[in-house]
Amino acid sequence: MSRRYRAFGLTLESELDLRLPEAASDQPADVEVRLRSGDTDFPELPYSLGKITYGRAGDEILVRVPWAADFRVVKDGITIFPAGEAQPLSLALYLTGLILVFHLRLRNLLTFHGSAVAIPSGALVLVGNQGSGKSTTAAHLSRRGYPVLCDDAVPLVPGPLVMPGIPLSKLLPDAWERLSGGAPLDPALWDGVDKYQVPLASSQESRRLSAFLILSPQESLKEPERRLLKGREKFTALISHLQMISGLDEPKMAFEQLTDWLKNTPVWLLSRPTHRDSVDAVLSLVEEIITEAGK
Amino acid sequence: MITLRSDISHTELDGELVLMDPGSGKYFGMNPTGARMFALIRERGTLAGVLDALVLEYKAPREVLERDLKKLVLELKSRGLAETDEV
Repeated sequence: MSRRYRAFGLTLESELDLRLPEAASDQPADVEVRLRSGDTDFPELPYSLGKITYGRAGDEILVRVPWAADFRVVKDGITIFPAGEAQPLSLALYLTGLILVFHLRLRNLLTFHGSAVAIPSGALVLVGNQGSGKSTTAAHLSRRGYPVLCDDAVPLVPGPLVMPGIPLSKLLPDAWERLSGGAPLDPALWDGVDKYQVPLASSQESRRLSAFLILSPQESLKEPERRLLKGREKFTALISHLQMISGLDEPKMAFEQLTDWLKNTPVWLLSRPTHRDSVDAVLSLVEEIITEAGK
Repeated sequence: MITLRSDISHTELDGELVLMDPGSGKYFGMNPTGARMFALIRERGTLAGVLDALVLEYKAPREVLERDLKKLVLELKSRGLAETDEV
């Protein structure tokens, strides 16, 4: 039994149950997700992310997650060959959290590591180093009427448009507790490492890129500050947050596309204190940026 | 003669320049004066030609402009982005 889902602006028809918004059954599928049994004949895969290995073979991307599955990825389909004991939920989380990001490489999208929210003028993309509060800020913004467009991977296409991604925000347990006041969560939403994948108010429409916001925690700060970056500074501050996957991404194409978009896109740096009491002050500054993006 | 490598990608942002060396995947930035010098090197291709244009555009003394231009060309050369026998 297959179901149809929406992610990254694509319709997926999947034999595996996915934690994604469902699509209308009459919507044509862009990507077919199939489950197959048996061993694969993958060659040695030259690239790695930890113990996960991958590589290109002609028009295909091959990915091996040794404890979960082998994945064969082509533009219009993903075939999953599960490992012996792999659970369907685990396969589904790898598919949406990793394999779809690989699949975007076959569609020439640029992907940022960050979160995005829908704002009146389009989309605000939040980036920052690990632990800078991207997902948490996006989750708080969703509670203030700015639906989450993507979390973790933010895909952009020429326009530039931000494509809707996976509507599950990855939150640390204490971030969820502060956001929800301690409401219990389904244990199945635990990613098995350190975060919950939490469904929040989300949007499934692609939206024009309005602004980038770089979150930067600074221990010495007492109050958050915002600053509009200019020239080469906005490029150098952003480029490290672009997801470049060795062997799959073309750096020259990414450079040319990103610098072209930056000519007309404001980039804000928001430095914030590390203490938790600063959340409201940070959100006030973000809302000022959202207002300015609409002018 | 100063010859910039033909495969360099570069873009102007707010009067400044960012460029990428596709060979190494490294990025470089230049302030507005550096960006103007880079554009003139592409247009004129010689130290003297670039310097003559800079003298007309900037109020700084010729010696200062020449020193800054040579510094930039040397930097480009040391990073493998330009070839020249002029510095």
